Amino acid sequence: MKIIRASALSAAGLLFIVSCASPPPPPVAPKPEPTPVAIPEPAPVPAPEPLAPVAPAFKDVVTSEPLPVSLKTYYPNGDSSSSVTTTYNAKGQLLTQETTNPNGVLVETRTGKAKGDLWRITITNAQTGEVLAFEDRLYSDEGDLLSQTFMNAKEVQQSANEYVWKEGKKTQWTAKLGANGNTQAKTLYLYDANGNNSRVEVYDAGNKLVTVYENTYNAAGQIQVRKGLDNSGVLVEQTNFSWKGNQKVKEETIKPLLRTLDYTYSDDTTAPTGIASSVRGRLAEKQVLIYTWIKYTHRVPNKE
Amino acid sequence: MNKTLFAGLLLLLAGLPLLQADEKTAVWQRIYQNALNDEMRYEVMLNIRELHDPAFTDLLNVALTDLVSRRIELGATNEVDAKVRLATQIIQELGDLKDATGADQVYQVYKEIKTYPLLRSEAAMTLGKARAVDYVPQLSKALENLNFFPERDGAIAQEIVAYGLVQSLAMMKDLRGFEPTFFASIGWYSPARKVKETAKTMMTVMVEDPSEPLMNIVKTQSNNVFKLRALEAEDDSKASPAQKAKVAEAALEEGVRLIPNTILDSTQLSELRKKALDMLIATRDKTPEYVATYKQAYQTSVLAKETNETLRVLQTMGVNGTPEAVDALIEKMDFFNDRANAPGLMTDFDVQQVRTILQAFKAANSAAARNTLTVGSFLYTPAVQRDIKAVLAGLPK
Repeated sequence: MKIIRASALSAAGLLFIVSCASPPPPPVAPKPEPTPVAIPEPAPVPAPEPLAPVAPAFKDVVTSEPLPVSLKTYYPNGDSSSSVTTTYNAKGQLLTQETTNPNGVLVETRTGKAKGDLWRITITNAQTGEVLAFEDRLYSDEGDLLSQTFMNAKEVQQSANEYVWKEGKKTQWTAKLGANGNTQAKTLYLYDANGNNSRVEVYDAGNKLVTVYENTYNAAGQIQVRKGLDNSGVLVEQTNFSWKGNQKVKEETIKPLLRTLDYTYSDDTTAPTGIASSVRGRLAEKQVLIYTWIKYTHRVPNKE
Repeated sequence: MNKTLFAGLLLLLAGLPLLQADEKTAVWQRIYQNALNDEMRYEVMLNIRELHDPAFTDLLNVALTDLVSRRIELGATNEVDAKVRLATQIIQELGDLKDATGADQVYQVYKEIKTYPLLRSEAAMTLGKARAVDYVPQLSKALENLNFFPERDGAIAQEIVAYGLVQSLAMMKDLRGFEPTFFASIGWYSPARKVKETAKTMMTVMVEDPSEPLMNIVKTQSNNVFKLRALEAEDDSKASPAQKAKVAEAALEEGVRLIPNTILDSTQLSELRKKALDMLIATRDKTPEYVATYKQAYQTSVLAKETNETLRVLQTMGVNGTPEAVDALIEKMDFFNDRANAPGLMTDFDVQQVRTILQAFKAANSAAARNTLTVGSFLYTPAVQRDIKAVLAGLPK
């Protein structure tokens, strides 16, 4: 079962969009005519025509995204298998995270705090107090994750993810490796006219296309099918999605192996509070989640 | 290194189907497959762990098989260090994904690693998280060996491994792992390593009813302290009152049966009996078959001059309240009635016993006690007589 993390939800968990038009630009004052020198009486300057109303060039889009504050995982027989409790600041950045093992013993803690422009997360073995690793995150002013850098306990960079965003949508991800940050892969996210992520292209270190994902959506902008194709165009993966209203209720990977995620909800939001994961028809794990909602504001071109 | 095997594993790794849930999984899987050395693989693994996706399971299993085949502890120091760090990450992630399909390789790591106790400990814990119960016997035996036969050197390393084993057995929630966990809770481990403390906590969560292994310890261990600790563990467990009473009765029987050779033995056995009696009172046990043991316990406590214990036996009989228990109490009351008839024989402790018997009759609420109480109401001091009459008034006719 994939644990829902902030990054995993950020692209999918849009709850509502509020449009706030920017104020119109002030009317342009007519340029004063230069004063004539010894000239007969000047012709009267015609009054400027009033400017036609101009639609604002940009508008602010506010999105609200769910971040899990409590994630409890269970074995198929209902025994608790782990628990993750997380707190965030108002920007949705991780403040604390505590993970317990199936015995209820605290095994790992993560604490986040600002380090210059970065948000540094320190990962600690809760039993020994030993620092295991660091993760530095860089966010844009709008709250988009721009980069993640993973470091070992000696603060030596191990790997990194870099993201490019445009108008609140992720357009590129670059995976890097090693202390020098050598690029290993680049992924492009392409969007259709409705703003849906319709295609994902994955390139290797030599900039050769290796995998393509094609997503299809219904009129409501809900993903229906996700297909993964290799560089020869052969279908290697397919996942079908089912929706009920605005809620995703099932995600079924039928290729290469049957894997199902069943979602349940305790309210009418888009954030599932229960996820049951099955592999080849056999229940593997259950998750129960509680969220907090964080608001983000993006300035996007006004197409109205 | 077996080059053919290694090459085969790499081919297997490269040929893994892309089970990705999304492009991130696919990309990091590809990067891992293309990594040139263990240092690079470790770098990738940190990212893979962040994604925490079951789609990586096959990759992790093949990667671990590869590491095991290359003998983790074999090679130059920096190579071994990289392999150990990588293996630790893989094993931890397999545990987090609760994947039991790679249990054989994980156990192999546990078994073969000699000088990296943290890795062994992680391997043990991963088997627990994945509930690989096939390995309960092996892990139980390993913990038993650490409990009873620690090596002279490397105490800390052994404690680290023991900690992992305790956690692992607890996570598996298998009754077979209970006994070694119990002995870890009273073992030689230092407080700093939390082995004992953790084992004690785990005992209360790992199985609902540990009565069977604890009964076994109570009945078969020659060490009186082990018996007492087992009884305490039973009391702390979630076992039913009937099961707790059963183990308590067995402990009481042991406490009566064993003959102390030293003052220390005597004290320990008295502690055992008192704990057993407390549990029998707390569980409100009413098993008639246990009364025979109570009678023996009474004699033992009197001989041992353990006055508190004697009073507790009488109290236990009252709680038991069966005709057998009431008969035993009547026998005692008759004895004290006779004693009270002879001037000067009654001691303060005798009076204390009489008062306790009165409370026991009250608890048993049996009409059978009326005769002996009626006789007693003409004996003793006026204060005791008043108590007897009060009890009599409350008993059924």
